[in-house]
Amino acid sequence: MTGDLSRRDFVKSSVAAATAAAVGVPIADAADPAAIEAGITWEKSVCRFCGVGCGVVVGTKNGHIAAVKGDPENPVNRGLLCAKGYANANILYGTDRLTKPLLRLKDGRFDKEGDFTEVSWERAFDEMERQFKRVQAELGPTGVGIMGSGQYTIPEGYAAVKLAKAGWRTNNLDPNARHCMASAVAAFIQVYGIDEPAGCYDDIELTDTIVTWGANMAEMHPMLWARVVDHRLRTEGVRIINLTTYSNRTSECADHELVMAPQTDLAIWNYIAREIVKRNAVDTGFVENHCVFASGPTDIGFGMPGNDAHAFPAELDTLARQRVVTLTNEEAIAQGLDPSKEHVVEQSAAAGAGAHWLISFEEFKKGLEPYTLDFVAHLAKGDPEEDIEDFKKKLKLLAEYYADPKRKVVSFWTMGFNQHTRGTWVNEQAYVVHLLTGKQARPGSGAFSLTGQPSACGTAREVGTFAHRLPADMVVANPAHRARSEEIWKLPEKTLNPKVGSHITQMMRDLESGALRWLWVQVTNPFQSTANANHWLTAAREKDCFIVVSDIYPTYSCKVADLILPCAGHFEKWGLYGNSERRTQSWRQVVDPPGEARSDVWQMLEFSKRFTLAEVWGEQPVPGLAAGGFEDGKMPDVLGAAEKLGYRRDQTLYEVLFATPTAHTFAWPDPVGADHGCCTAEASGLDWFPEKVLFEEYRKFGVDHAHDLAPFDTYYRDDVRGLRWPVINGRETRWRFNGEYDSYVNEGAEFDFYGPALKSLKMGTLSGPGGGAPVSLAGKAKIFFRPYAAPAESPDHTYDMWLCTGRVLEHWHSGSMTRRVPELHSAQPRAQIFMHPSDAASRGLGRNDIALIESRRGQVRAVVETEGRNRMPRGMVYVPWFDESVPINKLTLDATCPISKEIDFKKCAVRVGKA
Amino acid sequence: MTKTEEWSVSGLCVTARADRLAEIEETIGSRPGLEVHARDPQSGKLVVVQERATIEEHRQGLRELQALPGVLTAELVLHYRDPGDHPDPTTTGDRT
Repeated sequence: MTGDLSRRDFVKSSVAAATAAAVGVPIADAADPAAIEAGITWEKSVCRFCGVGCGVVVGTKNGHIAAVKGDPENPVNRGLLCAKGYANANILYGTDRLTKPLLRLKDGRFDKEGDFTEVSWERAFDEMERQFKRVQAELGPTGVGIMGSGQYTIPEGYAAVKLAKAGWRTNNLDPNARHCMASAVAAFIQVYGIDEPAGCYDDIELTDTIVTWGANMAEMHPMLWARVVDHRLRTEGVRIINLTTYSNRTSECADHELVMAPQTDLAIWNYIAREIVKRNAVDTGFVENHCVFASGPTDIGFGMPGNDAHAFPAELDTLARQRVVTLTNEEAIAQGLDPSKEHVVEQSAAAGAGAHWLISFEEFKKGLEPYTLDFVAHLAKGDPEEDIEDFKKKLKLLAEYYADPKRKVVSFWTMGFNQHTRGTWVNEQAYVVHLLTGKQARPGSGAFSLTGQPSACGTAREVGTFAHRLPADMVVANPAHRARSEEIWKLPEKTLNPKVGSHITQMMRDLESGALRWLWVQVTNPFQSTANANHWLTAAREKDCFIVVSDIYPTYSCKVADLILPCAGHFEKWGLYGNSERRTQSWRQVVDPPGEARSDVWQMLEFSKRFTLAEVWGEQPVPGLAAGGFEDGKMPDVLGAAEKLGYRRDQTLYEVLFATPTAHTFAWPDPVGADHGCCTAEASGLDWFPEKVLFEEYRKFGVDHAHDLAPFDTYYRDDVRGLRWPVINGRETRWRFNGEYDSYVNEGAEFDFYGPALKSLKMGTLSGPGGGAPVSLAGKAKIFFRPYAAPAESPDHTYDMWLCTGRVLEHWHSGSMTRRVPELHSAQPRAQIFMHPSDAASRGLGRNDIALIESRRGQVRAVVETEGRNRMPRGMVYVPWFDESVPINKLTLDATCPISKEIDFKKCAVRVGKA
Repeated sequence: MTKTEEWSVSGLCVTARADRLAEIEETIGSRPGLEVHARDPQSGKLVVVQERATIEEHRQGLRELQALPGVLTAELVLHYRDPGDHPDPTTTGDRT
């Protein structure tokens, strides 16, 4: 160790004083906290990691980040950070940062079998362009695609949407956020007609009851959890209930833990709803004035391929369930059918899984009728060793908490709900209970979907980097939405493609089938993170395709790439993120990217110079395109119309989409960036500020459309720590749909669920829609009846255990950043398999032995852990996915929620034995 | 990355069950590299300073605090690396 002893004592005393001041603990005899700050420049910023969106303050000295602290001014985390907070600076300084483009070359030419060789950016873009144009000529715009991210900054995501959708006319742009919260999105749209939560984090301190469902907040959202725990300790009567499929750290601070069997959350919600109705605990005024009842088809499949063309032999039985399902005994009861008969159900609504219609309250009650305490308790009890009567008591208590009119309740959930083959349903069911009891959109009460990624909300959802979306909740399939986007983007009519593109898992399947042959991966690591990975890894290497991966480190996905582009890291560029509570936050560039690493925005802008309008806006075939006005299956030639708008055929996409006349009115340098660099502008010698231009243009989509953001400069003000949209006249919105807080609510209304999507429906019954005319539901939220349905794959004699996967506290996602710091790698080098001691013993395994884990789709080895943070019930194992040497997604199943297209990473069948 | 040995200090906030605060304070204080600098019995909070050589040792230390019986939460407030340890800024531009 270095450092003079007295100086060290002095530093420690100063650190103690700064810490005590930040958390409000009195301290005596402290050194001046300012003393350690000499020579350090501090800058407010946002944490790089999860969706909580903590404020961090970074300290730079000599062009290097020297210190990190929680931002005491930030209302999200109030000066505290979790263990990942340490990594904010160090993720930039791993020894293997990518600093030059790397292209596979053999004898100086690109070759898929060649070795990665350093090349210039010019050479890299030349090959990218050549391959793009070759594929586009053969397959049209659907042959190319971008995989994006919930870790995109807002300007990055917006640049990607504009380049792909307006420039290339492809909707094959989809983020890793599809794997993260697409089910939450689908439910928001189905229930409210508009995306994202009604409430905010303020609810934590205002509630009496916190229920976590499939959300291990203590590890995955530690700073919110710290607020929950703090509130629990300080406030009389506050209770915490944790519903989970295995005992985890969140249970340690919970008053009650309910270990449930996988997928039975669907049944538990219906039990609670049934109890609420039975106890006359329905808030009838709220429901009559602000809600309607709805239902939809049940024969919707599991989002798996409808054919076996590329299946491994062992997968055939699981895949068959996409076409025909024989209902289990429990499913038959849950759907009100006779369980003594066999029910073989063709999955005929798989393609229209999101369809729904209105039903009466009487029909809704009829749907709930089978969900008695007895039925649900036997179905849902997840720990074989728990007494059924104890489990019943917990279920009753849970129902009482929700039903008690005097009790405020917040329900939190994350991946346990979202990564679920009925993910949209189970999200909708959370709203069922909160809407029935009027505990929604009120301070201290609400169903609240937490997100996993730092800008899953701000970028992936709000900007709309999904295959079906446009900014501000608009969708490509809606002609009015396309027209509005074409107007803002100054595009000729019919430039935008109305056919929904391939979602991220479908893009992988398209790579395998040859329908997609040029792919750009940005800010994500999909070959590690997508389920059933053996298929995609093989396709990437063996098919005639060209894969570009932009990243700051050589990730698992880089291994199967053809070209790797080096990126600027978090604090090396300007950015904005939007967190789970609709809070948009910003940071400035504080250090320069290393070597020739460049921001993602720069990469997209530079690459757009490679396309003239004549190359992309001529007639283009789109297989399966049949939208109104596009009946010939082609995107029309819009070059004539473009000329009428003043464009030239030989103009580049760069000039038309990015370096527009308006862009040049936002000068760089800009006063908001005094004393800061902008690597995007500087690398191209621009006299305009790309990130600001992109944000200000994006903002036009949301203003007056219930997604209002403040001007760019506002977020950078010293006194602003993010603002929760809609931001109206500088004022943020804490509770949407509530007349007291949300200025979009109709004048005088107490509540107004004003979201515009899917608000005209036919009346029907549980069995289907009737023949009448559609009814308008303006201002109403929908209360859905959704039955219990069995998972796509369950344990059987051959594969006899459940496998669940997810994160651990220390590592972020695929570990490409957090595992980079050399010390991290040695301390936590391997992912473990968590299992029950008796399951281990019966397989001849003990703690720290190596187990072989196999599914129908692949196998990995991992070290056995029978103690520690996750205590598994018998019959279930947990393997986190951060470790590329334990690529657990080779085993997982790529079944999705058929509505949201989000993969269920929480349930598949495996067997475990000695390696 | 710098070849010099790192030396850094972090300021942590530990929340403990009020009835076990004194016991936990003693446990923490007896561990090498950890010092309790302040306490607030009302909120159950301790201000702990942790001195470690590497980032991972810091993270490991925080994890160990979180795992102590009676500790409800443990968080990072401030992490400071000794400025003497920074690599020469003129060599940080290119680290292939």
